Amino acid sequence: MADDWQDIEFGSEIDVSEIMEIIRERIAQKRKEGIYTDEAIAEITESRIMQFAEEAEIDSVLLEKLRSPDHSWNINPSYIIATHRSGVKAKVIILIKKLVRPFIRLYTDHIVGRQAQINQYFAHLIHNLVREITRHQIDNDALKAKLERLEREQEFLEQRLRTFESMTMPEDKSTDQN
Amino acid sequence: MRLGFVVQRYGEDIAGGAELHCRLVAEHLNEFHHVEIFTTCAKDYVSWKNEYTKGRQIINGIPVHRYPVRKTRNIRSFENVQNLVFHESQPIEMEERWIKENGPYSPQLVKGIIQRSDIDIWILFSYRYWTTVQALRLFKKKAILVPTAEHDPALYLSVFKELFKLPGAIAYNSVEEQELIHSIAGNRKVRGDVVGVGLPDTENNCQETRDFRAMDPYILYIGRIDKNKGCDHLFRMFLRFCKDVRDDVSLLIIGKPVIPIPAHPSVRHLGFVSEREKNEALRHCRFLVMPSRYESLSMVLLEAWRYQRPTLVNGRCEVLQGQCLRSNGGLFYKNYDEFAEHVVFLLENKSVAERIGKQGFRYYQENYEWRVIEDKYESLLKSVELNSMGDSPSEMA
Repeated sequence: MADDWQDIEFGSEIDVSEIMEIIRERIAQKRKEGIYTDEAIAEITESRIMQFAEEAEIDSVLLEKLRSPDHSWNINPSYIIATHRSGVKAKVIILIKKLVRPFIRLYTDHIVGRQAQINQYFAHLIHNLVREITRHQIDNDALKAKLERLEREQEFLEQRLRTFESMTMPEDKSTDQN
Repeated sequence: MRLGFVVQRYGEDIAGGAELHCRLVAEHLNEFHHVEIFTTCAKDYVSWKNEYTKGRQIINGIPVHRYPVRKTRNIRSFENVQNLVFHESQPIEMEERWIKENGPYSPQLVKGIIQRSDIDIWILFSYRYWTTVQALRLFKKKAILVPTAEHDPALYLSVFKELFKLPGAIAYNSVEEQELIHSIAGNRKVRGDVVGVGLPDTENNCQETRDFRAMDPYILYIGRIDKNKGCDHLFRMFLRFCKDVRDDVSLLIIGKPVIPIPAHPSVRHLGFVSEREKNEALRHCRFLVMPSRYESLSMVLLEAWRYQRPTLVNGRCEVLQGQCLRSNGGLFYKNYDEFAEHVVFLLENKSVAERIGKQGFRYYQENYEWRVIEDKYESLLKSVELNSMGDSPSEMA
């Protein structure tokens, strides 16, 4: 790689964006040839998932959370006890809610917990599906490109063969007689 | 002038970015003004547990007033409120509750600063803390806010939109931070300047250090070894690079580990080292890598440029990317492919890498030498002084 850069002349001030542009072009060239790393596939998958989410017009903050590795986006049985009222009334209401909460959670925690697991499973499943589809599409594109190249090579070889044949085949004497 | 600094934590043993930033600015401005610090007794930014003794003490010639935190952070309650306010639109009371839960909740500190009518100008550090919010509401035009903001859901809370319009001036860390806050808060009318911070003076003692020259070639990472700093991603990329591209280069790591460091012959963790040793490591590295995605200003990047070393940063962080482009002192990557190609480029084109490092040094000299920072603060102080003449803290309870 060092040799590749020997031909490039840098002025008195090196423009780092110029260097990075050349590097990106090289990477893009490799990708055209179907050479993708796992990271690159993950990146394309992420951008696709983003695109789907944007089409669904999901809140951007929630979208950011959905993409994060933790599961803070998921439903959670714990919640904040609050009231819009103020003063003594508010304190009494909050106290009552706090007293009632354990009984309610006795019935709801199991359902919410199970739903949270299902959500997590589906999110995982969909994410992996998008990644696998992306990988197959990339493989497909690479195979198509390879096939096209092979077809071109085959055509060229056939043409070459015909030329050789025409050069090496003895002249048809019957045509001379005619 | 009499300057009062309000900051969530303060001390020579606190390595946090904003806190160190505050201490350095305070110590430098103390040469021209009378500076006092108003802070809490907390040392840990997660729990806000009172660890320092309350009262007055002197640190490097500056009086520091410490007030106890009344309520340590209740993680469960904090996360519950945070999940609500970060995910959906909530009433302002809930956002106020988030600020209080975030802390450090120290009503005594607020009482203490209200009593100090002799302070001419207040300099408040980090927008997201309870102490800063209270001080800003009290002193408004008499205050200079140093937001140290980054892309963070908290920044989008509606409560902060109004807060960013309150101060007399804002000292931003970077052009990107300024643009981000302008776009969210619409506070272009508030006087602001991109100031940043200089670096601590280098120590010239004769302390023995490791032979870093013998470790060549190595890439250097300095900072907390944490997921939030993008270290997990860096480790994955570097190990992959060793496997796929070349394994004759080491990754040298300096800092406190929060996440496990991979056991690999090419990954070397030096732990917490002396300032001199850190500088030696910087002087001899091929380049410094900064994988963090959320930075308002990376001091370690400036340190690399001070030693004329090029940098390689995470291009998904707008601030780091902007710094590299403005200085022409470093490259940035957005994925593994770019990371690998840039590493190879910097390792194999030594003379170009050296020149990139020198360009970084020039940028550091022009923008982050202390004389430049001090001049910018002086200009902000003068403008705040002029605009706040006759003002008295309002709504003082």
